[in-house]
Amino acid sequence: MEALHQTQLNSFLLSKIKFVLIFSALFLSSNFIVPVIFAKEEIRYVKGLGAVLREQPSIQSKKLTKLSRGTKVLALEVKGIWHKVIAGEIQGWLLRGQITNIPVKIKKLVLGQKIRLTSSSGRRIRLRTFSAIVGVKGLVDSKGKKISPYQTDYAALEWLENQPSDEENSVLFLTLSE
Amino acid sequence: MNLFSNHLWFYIFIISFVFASFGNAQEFRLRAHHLFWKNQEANTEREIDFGRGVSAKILGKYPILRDEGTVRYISQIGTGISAQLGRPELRYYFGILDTDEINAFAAPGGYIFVTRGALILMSNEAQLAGVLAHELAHVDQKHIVRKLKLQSTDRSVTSGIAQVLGGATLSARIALERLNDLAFKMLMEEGLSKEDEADADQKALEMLTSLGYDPQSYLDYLQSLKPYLEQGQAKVLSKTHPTIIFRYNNLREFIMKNDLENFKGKKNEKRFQKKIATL
Repeated sequence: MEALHQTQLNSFLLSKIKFVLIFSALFLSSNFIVPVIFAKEEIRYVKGLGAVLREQPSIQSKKLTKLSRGTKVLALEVKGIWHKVIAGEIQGWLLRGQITNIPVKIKKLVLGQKIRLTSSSGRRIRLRTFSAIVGVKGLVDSKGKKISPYQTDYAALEWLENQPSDEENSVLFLTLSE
Repeated sequence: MNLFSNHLWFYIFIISFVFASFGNAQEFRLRAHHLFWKNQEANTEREIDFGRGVSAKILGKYPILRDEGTVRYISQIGTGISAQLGRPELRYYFGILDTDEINAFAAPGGYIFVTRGALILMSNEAQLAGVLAHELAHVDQKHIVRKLKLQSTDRSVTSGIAQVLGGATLSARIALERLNDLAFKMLMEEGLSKEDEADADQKALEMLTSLGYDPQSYLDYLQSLKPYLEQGQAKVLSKTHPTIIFRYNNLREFIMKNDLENFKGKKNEKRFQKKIATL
């Protein structure tokens, strides 16, 4: 009775294993093989803050041009982390993470950042846009004429920046003692 | 054994999943690394931009001392420290402010100023190195940038000062100018938090010992400030920094904890006096 039960269990397990093996093979192939074989020309969009189009699929290779956020590109093939794309009339390589198949809204850098700060009443608030922060901190005056009440001296700063500095000599100078 | 065979299909599934994700892990790491450094660079650039604005305002308030010999000496000491213990991506500038007030300022991005009054009060090179190291610590720890909350709350790789101060529109430039004003006000009136100053003091002492300078000299310098705080010559300093007693005790504690009591470093008194004599 018990032996029979064991064989039944074994056959059950065997079928399960087969199922799992097929499943994992499918999973693996979907990850590595299928995208390479069945790569199609697809429209993608540059996301993030923009992307540098390169001649070869390597970070060291020559920069062809800089694509701005939201640029429509035609994706051709994948090689590791790189995507071969056509942008306008130029063909080059982009990092895979820099493009997406969802159209990207073009927005300015400073906008849309959630920044936490304390309002004048002491309450902690969360703001969505940079302009709102500027408003709360009282940074922009309504007429926008006199930006800062303080004087500046950029000439003196440039004089200081032009003073020679030598790291090696300075380190040596520091090690000397009387 | 029974337990294992019962869950065998589950284990196989997990293992296959792990193997499947191995291939992508390396690529993902590479990409994240690339993104992170790209963003770091942008942040550093913005920080320097921001610091330039603040230092121009400092120089608008106090005139710069155009004495190339002395500036070179200060810069040699400062650069010697920063080259070994500062942030490698920055170039530090060290200037002297032509005023009798006793103070030192650090603007973000590596701009460091010491007043003539403070230099006259100092008696040896270890004290100068201590003051410069204190300001260096402010730059390295980004105290001002942090206090102004120039960092967005989400901790993603693309958040930071570049996002807040990036952009070339007029409103962005006005905002940058206003934030510069806030930083300037912080240096001149409000000051940093007590914890930040205590931290900078401890870091300064740590730098002094690792460079072979006498740490006790820095404490002596703090003590020598005392009479001037009441006179008003160090009005800004007393307004923006915690009390001398607090700072002294904090450093004493640090010395005791790290067993530095018997550490005797160099003071380079003669060299210092010779260079500072022209002031």
